[in-house]
Amino acid sequence: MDIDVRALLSRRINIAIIAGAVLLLLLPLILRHEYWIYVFTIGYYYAILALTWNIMAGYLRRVSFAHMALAAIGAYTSTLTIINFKIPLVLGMFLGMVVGALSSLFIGYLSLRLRGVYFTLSTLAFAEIFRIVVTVEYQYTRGSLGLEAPKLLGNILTYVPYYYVALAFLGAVTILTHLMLNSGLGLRVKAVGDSEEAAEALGINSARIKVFTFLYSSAIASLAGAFYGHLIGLVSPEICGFEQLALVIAMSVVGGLGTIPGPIIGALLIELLAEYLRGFGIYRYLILAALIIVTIRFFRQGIFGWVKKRVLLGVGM
Amino acid sequence: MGQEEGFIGCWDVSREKVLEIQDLSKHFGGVKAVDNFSMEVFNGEIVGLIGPNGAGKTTLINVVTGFLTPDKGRVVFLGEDVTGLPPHKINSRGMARTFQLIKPFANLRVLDAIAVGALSKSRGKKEAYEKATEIVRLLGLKDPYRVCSTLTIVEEKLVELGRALATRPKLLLIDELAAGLRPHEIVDMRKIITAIRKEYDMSMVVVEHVMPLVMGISDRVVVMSSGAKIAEGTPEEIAKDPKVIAAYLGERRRV
Repeated sequence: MDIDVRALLSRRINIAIIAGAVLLLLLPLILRHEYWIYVFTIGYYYAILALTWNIMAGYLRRVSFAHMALAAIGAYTSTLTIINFKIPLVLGMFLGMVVGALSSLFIGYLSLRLRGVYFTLSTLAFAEIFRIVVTVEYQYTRGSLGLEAPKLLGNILTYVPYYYVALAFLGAVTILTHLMLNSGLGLRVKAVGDSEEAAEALGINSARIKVFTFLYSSAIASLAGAFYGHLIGLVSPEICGFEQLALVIAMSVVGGLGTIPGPIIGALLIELLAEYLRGFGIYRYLILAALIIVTIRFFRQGIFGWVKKRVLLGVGM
Repeated sequence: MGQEEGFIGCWDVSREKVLEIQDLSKHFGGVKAVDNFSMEVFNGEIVGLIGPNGAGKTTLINVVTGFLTPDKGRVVFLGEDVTGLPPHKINSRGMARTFQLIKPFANLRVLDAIAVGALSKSRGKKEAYEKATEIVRLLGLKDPYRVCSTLTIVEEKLVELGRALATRPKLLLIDELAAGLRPHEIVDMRKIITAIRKEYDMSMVVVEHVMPLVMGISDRVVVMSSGAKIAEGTPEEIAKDPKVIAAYLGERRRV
């Protein structure tokens, strides 16, 4: 690719992103249907989780299975502190983020020095232990029945305000992540992801970079989890169920690993598809699994990679 | 007489020790990969470190740069004991290396990969990229915006060299740059190393088992065999040393 093509591509990507953002801003006016507005709001929650999971898997190249458990930690911390100590809701959500961040420091310190798959297995162990404890400790968490969580915006009958809060949250996370990944720090993250030894040989403290990346990804996931609890009004162990994790992984992979727009596109697409296929019950996961296999086999770069090449550049059309 | 003393004084300053390896040993089970090895590198010189395959050259580099901890001995760099420090701390003190089996940043562009090296010695990202651009020009890399996974082996080796250079080292350890290259490419590499030496004020250790590259550019050659030092001297002396010929050149003559 020469420089002109690169400039053209980045200009077209920017135009597409701005067009997409405007479309999402105007969507409640177009949809005019509470149900689909709610579906999109939930979609933004998944987009935030897919985006932050992808910082680990797509840039640092470490697969974390604790992502949904960290979201659940945020949700439980927020709701439990609000119920028991009568603190303001926003403070509860902030505490959720802090406790999630501290948990990730603990997991990260213990397991990020392990290589490859051992980190993943450690996060899986942590996630399962957390899920079991939360389910079993009935007197605090009401087990699998779940806790009734106070609603973020009180008793309003429309989801439109929630839609814009979620969209603003997603927008803020996207911009922050874009800035982080394009800073010197982000360059270090990508370098450690590609070769830890080479990064070390060039003066980068790889242990510190790994812990930071996990902390960044986890803190946002915890805040998103807290938000989700106060959005749907229920905090239960289902938040950190394996299907939820599988969904987030599918969204990142199908959308495009190692890109920022990819997981957002993947999250919205799969969330809509999952709603649309609700009639199939549990079998809809079969269709989602097939989608992942097709993506891995034919569109290595995910939907975003394909769109970039075929639509925005017009290659092979 | 006074003039002579002055001359000797000057000479002594330029012969300042950059690296001192003292009685270093590294064993893997029963294999003595590095066995009581000592050597020195002086300010501004290029030392060739040669030896047949399996002599322990790469293990030595790994111990010196902190990727392995020694069983015995010390590594003194610029007057400071750096034995057992992690690699990134050793790099930040001014010692850089390249890898024999290249470890590319496959998803980064050439310019990014070199900027990674410059980051820790720069005030910001912008400065790191300015330094990287300079190095891209020095090495003659054609397209700095290409992704590293699409490069040829020669270009990959140049990027590996470039990002190490970007850390502004006082000492650069180059591990088998010629491995996997064809003869005319080795000649190009020799030119590049000479150009680097002219541009930057630093010492180098060039590790090879291919003789031509080392013989042409080294001020001094150290020969390693079975983890131990068996000879040391100017390239001409080494080429004539019967012990070296037995351990090394003899092996080649038989081929």
